[in-house]
Amino acid sequence: MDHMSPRLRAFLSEPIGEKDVAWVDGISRELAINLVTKGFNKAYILLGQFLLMHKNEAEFQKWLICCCGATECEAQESSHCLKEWCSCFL
Amino acid sequence: MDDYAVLSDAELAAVLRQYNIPHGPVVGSTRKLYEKKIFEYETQRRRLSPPNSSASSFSYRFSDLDSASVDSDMYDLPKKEDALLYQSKGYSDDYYEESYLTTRTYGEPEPVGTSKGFRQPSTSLADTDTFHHQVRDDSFFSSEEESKDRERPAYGRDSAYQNIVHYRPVSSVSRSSLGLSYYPTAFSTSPMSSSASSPTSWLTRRAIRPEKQAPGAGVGQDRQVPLWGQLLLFLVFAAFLLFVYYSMQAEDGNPFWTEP
Repeated sequence: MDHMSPRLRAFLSEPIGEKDVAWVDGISRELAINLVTKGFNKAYILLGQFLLMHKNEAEFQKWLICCCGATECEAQESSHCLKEWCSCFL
Repeated sequence: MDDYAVLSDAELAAVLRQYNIPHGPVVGSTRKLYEKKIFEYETQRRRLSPPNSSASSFSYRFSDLDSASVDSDMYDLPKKEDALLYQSKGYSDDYYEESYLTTRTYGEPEPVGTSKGFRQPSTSLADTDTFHHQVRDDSFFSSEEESKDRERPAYGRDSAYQNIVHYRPVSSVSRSSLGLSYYPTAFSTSPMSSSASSPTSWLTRRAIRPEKQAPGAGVGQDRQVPLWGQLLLFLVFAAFLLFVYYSMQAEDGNPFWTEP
């Protein structure tokens, strides 16, 4: 397995619970604020959005960039993080 | 772009299915993305074959009656429709895939850095500009601009989007047709304009994430010599020039040898 960032490792090490969306790997503080204003205040809501897009990383990245003002890097990291979570726990 | 707002969620899904665009459920959060997708697809098609656009919209109305009723089967239908539509729309599929190939190239460092009111002579770009104005109407516009601008040097040739596994039609043709990509890159980079307007917030954005070294390192690796090295070299060179300059200045004393 390739090197995981500490955030990703922390995110995957325990149940998602009631973590804030900023816990998701790749979500910067600004992006987290954007997401919270859109209603995605918890990590599981963002996960829900990821699942709504059929766990398609590309779609999710597009949505994150287009509708939430994320950068490509952030979108890739967060989609990778959620994908990993789904492969571990779903 | 506003035409799609009047469509209900089911109708939007029917249009997505008709255009063979893979999609998930159309809900509040995903609606905007799918409206944008449909708009891009129609703009792409309008650019390629203007006479077909009227026919396509007409056929949409025609098929909407029967496709709206099978909305619940949307998870199964796309696969069958893929095979059917691919044979009939094989030509347009290549270009459609190409548009998705290149519209993602947000980081293309094309010298199109103009202001918000960027207008090219070709009319085809005009409607995409207006579309971008309408889509980026909210407050995320500035952050999106500067974020895209920041990623510009790092993602010069963003070939990551070539992994479009859900587009089964011919992929080799679209990859070779990247020569046509100038239009879509200009189309996609037009919102990156007015980058100089807010560089400070970009800098603060970088400062907020001290633990993310990857973007900084990624940008730095584009240089042969690191930034600090370049500054050091510049200072050394400047010091050398100053030394030469001062050493060449005439002494205040008598230039002639004073023989005793």
